[in-house]
Amino acid sequence: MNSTQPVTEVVQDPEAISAFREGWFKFCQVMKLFLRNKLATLGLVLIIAWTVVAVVAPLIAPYAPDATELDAKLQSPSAAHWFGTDQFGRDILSRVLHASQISIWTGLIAVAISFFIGVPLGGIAAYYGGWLGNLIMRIMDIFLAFPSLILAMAIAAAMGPGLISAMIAVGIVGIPEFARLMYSQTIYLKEREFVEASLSIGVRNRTILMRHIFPNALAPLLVRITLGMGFAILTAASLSFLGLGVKPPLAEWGAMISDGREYIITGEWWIVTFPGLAIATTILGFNLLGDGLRDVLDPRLRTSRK
Amino acid sequence: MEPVLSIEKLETEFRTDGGTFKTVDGVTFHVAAGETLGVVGESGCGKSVTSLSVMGLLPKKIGRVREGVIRFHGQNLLEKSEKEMRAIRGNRIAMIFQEPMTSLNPVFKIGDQLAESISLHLKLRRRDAMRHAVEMLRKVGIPNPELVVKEYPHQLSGGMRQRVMIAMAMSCNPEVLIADEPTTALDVTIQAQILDLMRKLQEEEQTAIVLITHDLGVVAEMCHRVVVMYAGQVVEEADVDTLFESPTHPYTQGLLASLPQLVGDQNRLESIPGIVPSPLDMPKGCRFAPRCKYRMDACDQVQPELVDVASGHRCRCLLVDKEVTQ
Repeated sequence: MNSTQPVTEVVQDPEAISAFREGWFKFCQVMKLFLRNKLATLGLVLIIAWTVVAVVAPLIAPYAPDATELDAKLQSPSAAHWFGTDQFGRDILSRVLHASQISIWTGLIAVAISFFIGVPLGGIAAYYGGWLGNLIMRIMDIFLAFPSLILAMAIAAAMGPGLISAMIAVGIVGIPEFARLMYSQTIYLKEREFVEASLSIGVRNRTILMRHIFPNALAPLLVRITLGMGFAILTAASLSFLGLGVKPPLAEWGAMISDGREYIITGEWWIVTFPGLAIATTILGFNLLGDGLRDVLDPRLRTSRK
Repeated sequence: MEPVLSIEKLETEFRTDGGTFKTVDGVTFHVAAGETLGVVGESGCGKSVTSLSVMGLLPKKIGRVREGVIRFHGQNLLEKSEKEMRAIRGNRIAMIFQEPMTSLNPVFKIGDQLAESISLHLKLRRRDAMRHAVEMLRKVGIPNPELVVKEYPHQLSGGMRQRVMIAMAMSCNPEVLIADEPTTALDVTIQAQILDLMRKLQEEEQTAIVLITHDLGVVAEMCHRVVVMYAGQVVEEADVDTLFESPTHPYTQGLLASLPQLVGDQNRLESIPGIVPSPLDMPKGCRFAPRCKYRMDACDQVQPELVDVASGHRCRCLLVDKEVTQ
């Protein structure tokens, strides 16, 4: 087997070079597999595009997001204002671009909260089991019993409306999903022989959970993170739409739709349409990417894919 | 010779919804440095549970040692705290498992897994632990160990993985090595290589090996002494020559008769009729009685004791129990 593996480079540090090559080769393989899936690639492109937009928004936005131009209120899309203007004469394009920063931050922070609380809880509940495990998972069940948006609203309202409380609320709502996923992964992994083998060489339980079980559960967790980003952005936008998220005049997609909703009837469709499209494309991107990752990272599906 | 590990009257029980039952019932044996003890018996006779009891790795909450003493250098392992046991496991008593395919963590490189145990017990720095890992792999006969430490378990064949497991188990020079069916999952030529390797390492380090197996061929090749287990009890204990030449217990006789013979006419392999009794419904008398061809009336009433047949040869059967037969 391994004796046939050639060591191609013999420069100053052949080990580092061959390790780099091997890693790069594996990355290329996964990427190739991934790019074969057209929809997942579309998802990745959408997310990269929005991330780039978020980073360079202040540079490419034609106007300041809160600059009002009172003699240019409610203008339909034109050369000066590509996406039109709202009831205060603010440029919709600039606001949509700036809002992408808030949405992506919200998604990242909310998912980070869900991940860093949910994953340890699920892992501990499954690995140690007993009354502690039961207690943790029953509390997760209570969280899951509420519709997620209602729960997010309750938490955000209790903490007082604002961007930070919206992030925390969305993060808390996402905890049970991560906890349950880690729980099921750990239940399965802790019975595997390599865990018993680690125990038999004297590794402590804590270390086994962190070093042996957690890395084996990463693939499904990664899929969950991606899908969770979409969910978090959507829920945060919903909270803002309901007035529990960002405070005006800060540009946020949900809040922009909320501001513009009474103008749909009078024909000013562009105020809600463009932020709506922004939400739709971002979430579509994360969901397509998540599905694609699931296919690539699941070895059982990998062999059957053409 | 002074035994390194001795087990006295070990009783291990499991609690299930169907009730509590003993899977190991009064097992006694010992093993000395440089000696290989075979523990033989069919599936479910308590061989593996005995070894897990020694390691302190019984499934929590359902399995526990009820009685008995496990002495390691005179100290009772059952009285050790979890922390003290962790320092012994892998360092002074190591274990090799049956399934080399799944006993290695798929997301770690071979070298990292070996180094984990090494740095844990020998308190070496990572670089030194890595060097030690390469050295161990070379010792167990893996070609190009410098490359293999950077590979993942799935890149190795079954025999190679079992070598890695042996390297891992032997990396801290344990005094006792418990090998739970180490060659069952491997094909015959690889089996022979692995057994040779274990014997070679034993000679170098004077390790005491407890070899758990159901393969009498492996026993004949490897072991100095043999303990035969049936339904959670030791039914016969003898050195390997005695056991194969003059087996005393009817169960041992049956096991040996079921081996294929190279000489003479033999159309069908012998088999022992019946099945192992369920631990929830043990016979009152001798546990082997329902399947035994020498069964007497007394066998259903009296639990036979393990009695000396000759020096170092003990058997649990009324036929050899002089007090009863007189």
